[in-house]
Amino acid sequence: MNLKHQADMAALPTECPPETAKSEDIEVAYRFIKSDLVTEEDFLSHKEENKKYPPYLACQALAVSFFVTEEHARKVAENNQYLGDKKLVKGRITSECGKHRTKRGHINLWLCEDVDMKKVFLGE
Amino acid sequence: MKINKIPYSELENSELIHVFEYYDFPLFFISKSPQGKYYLNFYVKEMEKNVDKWLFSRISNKERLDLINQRIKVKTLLNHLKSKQRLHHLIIDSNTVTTNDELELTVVDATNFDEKSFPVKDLYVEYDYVTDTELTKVEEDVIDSSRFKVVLRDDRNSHDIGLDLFLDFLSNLKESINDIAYDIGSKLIGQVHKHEINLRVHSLQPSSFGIWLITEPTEADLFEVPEKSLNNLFELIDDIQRKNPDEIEEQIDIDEEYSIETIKSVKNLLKDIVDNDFSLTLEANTKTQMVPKEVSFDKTSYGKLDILNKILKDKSQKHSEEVEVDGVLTSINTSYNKFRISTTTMGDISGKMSTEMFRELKKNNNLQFKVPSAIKATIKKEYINDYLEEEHYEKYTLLQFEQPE
Repeated sequence: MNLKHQADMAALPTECPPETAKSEDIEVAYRFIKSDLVTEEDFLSHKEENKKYPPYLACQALAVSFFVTEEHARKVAENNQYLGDKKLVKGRITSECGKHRTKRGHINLWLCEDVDMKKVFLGE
Repeated sequence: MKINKIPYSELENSELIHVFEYYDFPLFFISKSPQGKYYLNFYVKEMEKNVDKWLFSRISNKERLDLINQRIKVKTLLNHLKSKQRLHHLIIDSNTVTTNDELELTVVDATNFDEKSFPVKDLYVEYDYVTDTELTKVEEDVIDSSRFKVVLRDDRNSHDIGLDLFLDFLSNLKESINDIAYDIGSKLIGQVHKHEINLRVHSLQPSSFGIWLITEPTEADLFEVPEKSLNNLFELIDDIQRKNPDEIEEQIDIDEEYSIETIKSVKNLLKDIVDNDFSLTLEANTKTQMVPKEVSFDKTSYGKLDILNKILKDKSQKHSEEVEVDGVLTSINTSYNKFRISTTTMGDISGKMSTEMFRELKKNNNLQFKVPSAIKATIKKEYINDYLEEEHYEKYTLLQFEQPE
């Protein structure tokens, strides 16, 4: 499995994605999108968005976030204007998407290089 | 609109010690700078491509603990920081920012506050993504002030004590507890704690010169001010042993936990102990779980009194300015160098002539004063607020004057 930014990951001092990350199907996952329609841009990581991050968060900056439940996603959005202004979309993650790790209802997904995430997420 | 600055390098080099909300990046977190300062960071929105707006505030360690121990809700804390003008907007332009840049921190006030930048509901933080910990409520078990023990020992562990020292100590102890109660009242209920806390000697324990004391009033206080006051006294004495001056100053400047008056009275309390080569131990139980608490201040900690002295010195102020006054010269004493001017703007002011003016007056009698008569004068006004030496006064010096012919 070839993940995006493999070279960047290899250069990190700790294992990235973490050892506990798995490639498995997740039938239901939720992600906030920027406009009304899902586009490839909605699956860019923090690094791909060219945002700043501290060096020790380099691995997380290569991952994309999802929520396991709608309730959790809505609760986080209620506490933050940034997410509150976005549209929440339900989709799925397959084992071909990359490696992911779930922590308390939040999924970090390190994407595969050649995955069409929009297509997979929407089940097209 | 008040604007401060922070070096971007300080943000870059800060460590994220708690992350409460995460989505692609930490949305709400507390960072710790290499200098040990805590910062609250709350993401607001992307203003334009890669230009991000944050709510940002320095917080104290106590505020950090109150947040993670679910003693304060997020929106309550944000509102508190805003009301104290400690909450800022921080805008980071990822397209252009470099390590050497200084970023503007704009104080959040009525003119730039957007209700939407705060959470809708007031909730406790529930999870820390850094430590992977579910956060739960940790109640603060304050000290039971209804009965506590003070042990005073000299070098030889005599079982007696000079009456003057004993009375001074009890008076300083009472003053310290009441100053702390004042601080708590101002912070907690926004007003002065109405009932003075009195101390009563309950019994003596001659074998170690222990004194059991009880606080009055004995009826329960709704806000537990007596308990919290004694609790804070225990904590402050303990803090003096373990913390550096910066950390204690944080509790004065940021938490507003202790006022300068409290630092002064606790300094006086401990100075008596140092000056008389005594040691002090305070003992009590916590109110709910009855856990024994003990703090001591003995020979090994005498040097720590300097921490309080340094704080008092740092907080002392000396300021002088020259002011022009119009008024009536109502009194002048050329033998003892005294003057008094009645003004409409500053009331009656009295002081001395400058050394130069007084010399001139003594050398030749050209300097003429008319009393009572109108006067236009240049006065040097000095404010001295020395907490260490306990000197607080305003001083006026007459530099120049004109009186009508």
